[in-house]
Amino acid sequence: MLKLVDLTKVYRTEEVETTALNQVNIHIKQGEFVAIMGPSGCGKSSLLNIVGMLDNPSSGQYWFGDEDVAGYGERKLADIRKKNIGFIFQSFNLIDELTVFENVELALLYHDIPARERKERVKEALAKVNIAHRESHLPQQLSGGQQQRVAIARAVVSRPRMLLADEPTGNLDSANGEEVMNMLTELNGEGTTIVMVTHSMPHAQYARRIINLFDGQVVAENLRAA
Amino acid sequence: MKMLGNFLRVAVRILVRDRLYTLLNVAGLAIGIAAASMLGLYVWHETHYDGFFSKAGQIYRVDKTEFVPGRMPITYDSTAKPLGPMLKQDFPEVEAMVRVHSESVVVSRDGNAFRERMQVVDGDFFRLFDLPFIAGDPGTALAAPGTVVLPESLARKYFNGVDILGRTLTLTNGISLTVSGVIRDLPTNTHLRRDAMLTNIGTRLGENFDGWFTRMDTTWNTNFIRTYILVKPGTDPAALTARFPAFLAARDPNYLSTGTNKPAKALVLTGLTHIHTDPTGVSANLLGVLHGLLAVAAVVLGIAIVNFVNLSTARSSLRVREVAVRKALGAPRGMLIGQFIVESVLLTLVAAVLGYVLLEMLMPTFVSALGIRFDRGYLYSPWLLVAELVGVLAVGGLAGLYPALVLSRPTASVLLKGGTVSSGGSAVRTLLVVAQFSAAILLAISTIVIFQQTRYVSSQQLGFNAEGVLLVRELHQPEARAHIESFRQALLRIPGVAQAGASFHAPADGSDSTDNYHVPGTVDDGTIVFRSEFIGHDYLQAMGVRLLAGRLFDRAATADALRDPAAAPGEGINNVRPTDPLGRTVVLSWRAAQRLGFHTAEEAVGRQVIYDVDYPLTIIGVVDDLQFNSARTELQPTAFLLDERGLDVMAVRLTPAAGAATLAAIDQLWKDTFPTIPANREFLDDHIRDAYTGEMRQGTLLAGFTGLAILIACLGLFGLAAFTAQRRTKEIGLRKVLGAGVTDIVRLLVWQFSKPVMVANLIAWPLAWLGLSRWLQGYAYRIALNPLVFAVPGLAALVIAWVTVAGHAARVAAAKPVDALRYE
Repeated sequence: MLKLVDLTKVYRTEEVETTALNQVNIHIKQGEFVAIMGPSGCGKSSLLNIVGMLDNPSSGQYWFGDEDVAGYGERKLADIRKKNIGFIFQSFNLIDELTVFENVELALLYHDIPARERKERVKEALAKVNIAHRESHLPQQLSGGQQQRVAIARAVVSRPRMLLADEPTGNLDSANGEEVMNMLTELNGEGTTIVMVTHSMPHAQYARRIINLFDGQVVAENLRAA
Repeated sequence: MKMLGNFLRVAVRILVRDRLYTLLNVAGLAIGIAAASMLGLYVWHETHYDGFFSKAGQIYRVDKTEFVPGRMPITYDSTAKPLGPMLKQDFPEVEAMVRVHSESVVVSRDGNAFRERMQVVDGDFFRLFDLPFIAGDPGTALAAPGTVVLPESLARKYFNGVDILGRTLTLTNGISLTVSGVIRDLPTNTHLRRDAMLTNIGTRLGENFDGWFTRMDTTWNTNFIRTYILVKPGTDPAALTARFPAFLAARDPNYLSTGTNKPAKALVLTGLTHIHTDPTGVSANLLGVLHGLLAVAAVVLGIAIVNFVNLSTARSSLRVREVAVRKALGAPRGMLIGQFIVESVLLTLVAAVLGYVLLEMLMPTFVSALGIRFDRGYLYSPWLLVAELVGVLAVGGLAGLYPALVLSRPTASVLLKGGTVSSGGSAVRTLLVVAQFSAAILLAISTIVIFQQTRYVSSQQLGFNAEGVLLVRELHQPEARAHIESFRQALLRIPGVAQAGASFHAPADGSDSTDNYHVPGTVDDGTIVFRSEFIGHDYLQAMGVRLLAGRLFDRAATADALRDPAAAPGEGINNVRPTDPLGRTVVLSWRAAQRLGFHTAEEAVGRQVIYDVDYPLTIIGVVDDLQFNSARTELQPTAFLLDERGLDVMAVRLTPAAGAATLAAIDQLWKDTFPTIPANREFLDDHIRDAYTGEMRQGTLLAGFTGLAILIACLGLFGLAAFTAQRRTKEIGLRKVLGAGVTDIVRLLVWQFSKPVMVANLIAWPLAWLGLSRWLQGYAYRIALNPLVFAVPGLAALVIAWVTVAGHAARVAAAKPVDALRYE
């Protein structure tokens, strides 16, 4: 599915140069559920951003399928991203002015999908995360767990091959966290590749492989028995 | 005080930090202030004419309204010469009276002749118009004939100084005048001629003038002189005017009261300070134009202020966190409000200063583009400064108050959580943007229509060929009169001259001589009034009129021979009056022929028509209708009559091959033939166009300010787009994460700003339609309003808005989405 070769990300400001990722090599296969762990500032988010094609690496290769996308411009990346990758964020990132339904539909607006099919797929996604009854509510009217379920619906409605989750349970209580993890597991069971950044060891246990980052380098990889 | 210092420090820092916003805000407002000040100053200048005379409130000009059957009453500022003294004699409330007649004189200096204006005035002139003297005594300067008072510039021109009392000014015709005073050059805001010399009404200025001018002392039906009266304090002008009909009935032998079918007249008083803007005479329509300009000024300034308020309030909503922190640290609400207002007023002040600098720099260009006179001193008038200061406090306060109140209301905890503040503000902003663009589009449509109409009227069917005709004037000068025909013959010998013919007036001269006509055998009820054009034999040929039937005047035709004005009446003409034409034939315009009841042009030829009371004329030809006035007036039925006693202007038709050599030869011929008369020539098409310079200038002015209005509106839109892009950064990032491409984002933002502009179109169109239809009503010949003219500015506004916003949107959209998300 994807392969990172000697991937490095350096942030430069006027005075300092920070190496967020240092010669990272990771190989993720289709259908895997990978958790990335590590302390704050270890480079987890940078890695996820690059994997999600929201950012470019400073050097190294990023093979997505059989393309090295490391040097691609925003336009090309946007195209690949749109077809293949879904995102779930810690802070949900729903648009306040749009209803639940519209938030989910947003992910389909940029694909060439006729309105009727869009509607069906949004309903389907909302049903899947048990939030269909709130489709005309605004995000502020929902609890945190509900908002994250909407975010998941939005991430999966375009049927991406890979789902990237950045601490999806970080803002949730344990009951809601469990629920979200179960949903991700379920999605993974249906064949979606999932890469999740998390601080929570219990939640990382849902993944089949755990990659530990420290100071921008991969320090350990643990495979969990299936 | 300590707090104010803190406010100012923070304010300056914020303004420097948000440079783009500061720049847009200040620039837009400064341009708006400069533009509005310019227009405001101009309007103020134009509406405050003659107020500086100390007795301005007691001075009136006596005007005369003529009621001619069959047309609208017209008010003239010219009156009969005996009127003034009679008024003074009959009305005790008239303290003093001054008549002013403007005569042209020729003064020579170093061998060159210069035409100057001599104002022939009554001795009380300076009692009414207390102009400051540099030398001489205002009380006696004009008391006796034979003296002259010069404005400073003319004193320097002819005497190289102002200490010239008792010196002699000699005219080229031999008349000598003694200098009895030098006055300061008149300010720009007076309707009195600035460049004229002044002399007593009894002064002899040359044989020809003297005889005529003396004859006028008892003539009531020649109106040529301006009459001013100074009334006793407390006199009611309306009460005075009410007694004029009785006065006229007693004094004016020709007086006919209104309400009959005959031409009648009435006297009206125009207050001195209203003369310039009064629709009488030359400055017609000025008041309308001034109101229009004031409206434009308001629109431009309004757009700028809206920008300022919009940008200020929009930006302040990005400062929720700062306000929250200040609140958490214990800042009372009043202090927060104060902070916002101080910032806003500071910014407005900077804009006002900048606007003032712009005004300083641009006013000369503006003034010369308008072709008006304007004293620079007005720029420093304390009123302007006070107005600007009040404006700064009002606009600054307003722009600061709104966000101050909205942001300072919620508690700190709400704000810190990023609660929704001022979400209603965006609706207000959209509404204001709609208003701005409505105004800008309205202005743009008006500008186009005014341009179109102006071009249409100046190029419309004139009925003659105005191109390639040179007008040579001043033939009525006494030394020229006897030589008109020989001059014409000499002209015809110059290569490049095809034809030449003289006339009393040229088209667009503003001449307006009308007479009654009727067909023999019908009753002259005074309702058939034609414009009478007195011309020489060859004039119509030189003008290139279109002949519909019959023939034009012909020197060879015995019928067209002129009678001898001195000869005794005979040949069936019993009571020939001095005002009757010298020819016995007439050429009519098509409308005139129709008005007399002829159905075809051919039918009229050979028939008789009676001029005035009983002077019979034979119709020899009918020509196409001609436009002799501006297109504001309808084509008038016209009769062309032969005469030679007042020929003044020679129409010289040039061949297409004629060039500079032909013109030089004509000038030389003039100099050789009439060495004492300064040459005065111009092209007819230029002359006609000159009649429309007012409209042209209005058009240019409007175009300029429309451009400004649109520019300022776009500055605002640009700022709002920047603000929106910033405020929606997270949303845009998310949309990109979800697969939106650059084009999707650009489209999103562009659409957001297209909507208000489109709504603005819907508002501007009907308003423009109504306003312009009314404006066009003022023209007898007018263009039809073309829907395209409405669509184009609207579309242009949309495109400009797109371009303005798209740049921003594209930049935001092209950024890496991770930047957008990290912003949070």
